[in-house]
Amino acid sequence: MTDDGVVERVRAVYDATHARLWRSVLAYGGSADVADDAVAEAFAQALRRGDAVVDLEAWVWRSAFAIARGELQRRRRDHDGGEVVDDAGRPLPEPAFDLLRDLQALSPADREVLVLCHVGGWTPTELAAVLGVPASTVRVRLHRATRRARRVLSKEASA
Amino acid sequence: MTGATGARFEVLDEVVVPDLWDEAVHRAATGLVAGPEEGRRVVRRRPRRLPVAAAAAVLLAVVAVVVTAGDGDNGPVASGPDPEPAPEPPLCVEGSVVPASVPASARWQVSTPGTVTWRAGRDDELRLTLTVPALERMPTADLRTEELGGDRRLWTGPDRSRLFGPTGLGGSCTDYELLAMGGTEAEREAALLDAADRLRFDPGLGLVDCGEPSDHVVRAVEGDNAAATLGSVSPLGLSLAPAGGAVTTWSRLDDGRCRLRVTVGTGEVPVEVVVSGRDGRYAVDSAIGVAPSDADPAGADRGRPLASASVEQDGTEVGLTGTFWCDGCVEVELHATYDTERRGDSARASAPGPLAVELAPPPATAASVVVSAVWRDADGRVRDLFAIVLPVTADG
Repeated sequence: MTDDGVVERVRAVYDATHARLWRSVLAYGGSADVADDAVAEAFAQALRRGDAVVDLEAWVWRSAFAIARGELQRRRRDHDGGEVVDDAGRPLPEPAFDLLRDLQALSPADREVLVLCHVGGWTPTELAAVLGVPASTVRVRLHRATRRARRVLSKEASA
Repeated sequence: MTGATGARFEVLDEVVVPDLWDEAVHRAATGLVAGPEEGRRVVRRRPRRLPVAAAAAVLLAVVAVVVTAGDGDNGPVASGPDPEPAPEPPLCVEGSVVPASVPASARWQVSTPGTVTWRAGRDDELRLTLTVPALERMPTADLRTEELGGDRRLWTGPDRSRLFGPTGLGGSCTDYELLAMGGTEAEREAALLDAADRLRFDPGLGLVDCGEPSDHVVRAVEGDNAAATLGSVSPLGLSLAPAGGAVTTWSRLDDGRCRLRVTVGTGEVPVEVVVSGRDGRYAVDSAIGVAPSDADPAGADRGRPLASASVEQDGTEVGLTGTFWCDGCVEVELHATYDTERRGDSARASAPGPLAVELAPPPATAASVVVSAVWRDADGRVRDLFAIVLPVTADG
């Protein structure tokens, strides 16, 4: 199932995208542990699926966020929620820690679209293809999320 | 777009990104899903105001790992575990680790092969994973290897350490592997030696205990472990929780695992899950079912999933996306129904592409949405199907 060609193909996507993806999932979930797991598992799944995955990069991004989303839902269900930033024992630079903490004030849906655009570097059109939704939907979500994020994030932006 | 908002995210460029390729290859090769934050505890850490020098040291250490791992075209693949997974992962039916020899908080993440994960260290900064049997591999150049006596070997690397030792079990379970991640090299070594000294294996202790058929077995497959291995059926991150379901039949497979058929709250066609584990800690190895009432799960292909899909929920919108097609499939149906009543919707597609249903607002009593998808061929036969249960989310 996992032949050399598949490994090379997945590795190429990994090299090209894993740093952006990991930081995006980190910003989305506020947890380095969740980011580690989601990214590793998404690429592991891609390796297992081999050539069945056509648009590998989009699939990996979508899967990593789906994995992270599920884990975060479980955590919200199992715990009392609230502000949570988990660096998994790997100290984060202070500004990054503050950003992750501030992002927790937003809804997961807002965080997701903001992170995918601002950290992932996807344009709304590209993101629409990744998520399989119309570009107009992405633009609307981004616009609303940005409006809500401005209140949360702008106080630090000028600092 | 939004200059000020976008500028805030630039600080993430300073965050060191771990190299997860080794881990991904390992998981792909073994089918192992380690799972995040094994204890699934929410860690609330205060910001660490590290001096710049200390942060730089951490940065350099991680960069060193990345550079080392990136040597050669194939990086760790060349010397790591064989990326070609075994057709059937060996099951340690010859015996198992004695539960008391691992911390009570340890979680069984997946049982093929038997794997237990737990936190260790003064502040739980270490993550230990016990795997039986150990994976055959060659040490990479960045590892320091040491013979510990008693057929135990210690491999120490910049970010993880491994200890291999004999189990005393037979068959495919002759050795174990303890992996430590996090902490310092000395902390990892101490934790590994401590854990290894405590480990006990019992040939008479079967890995699999199906338990008795009862309604409670369903409850046992809920929770942390339930989502661990759903990746073999659908992309991960989605929990299978047939809450309120009842076991209708159960049987023991040749490899020792248990196959349960359960009905879920909606009264749809049964879910069939294959579970393994014991002592009330079960992992779902595969799940298939909750087909529409006219689908026969017995007609589905039980091999590896033919179709892969990603189910996502955004408010009341449930979507099926991804490469959700398979050879010979001519259509896929998506069904989404609230758990407490037969309120839901369905959609059908005859070509690859996103598929979504918009549900009515959830009833006050609804806690989850049962989502199922079924792929059919031209003769109407079910080629693949799966089901998941998603919690009702308030977020849009």
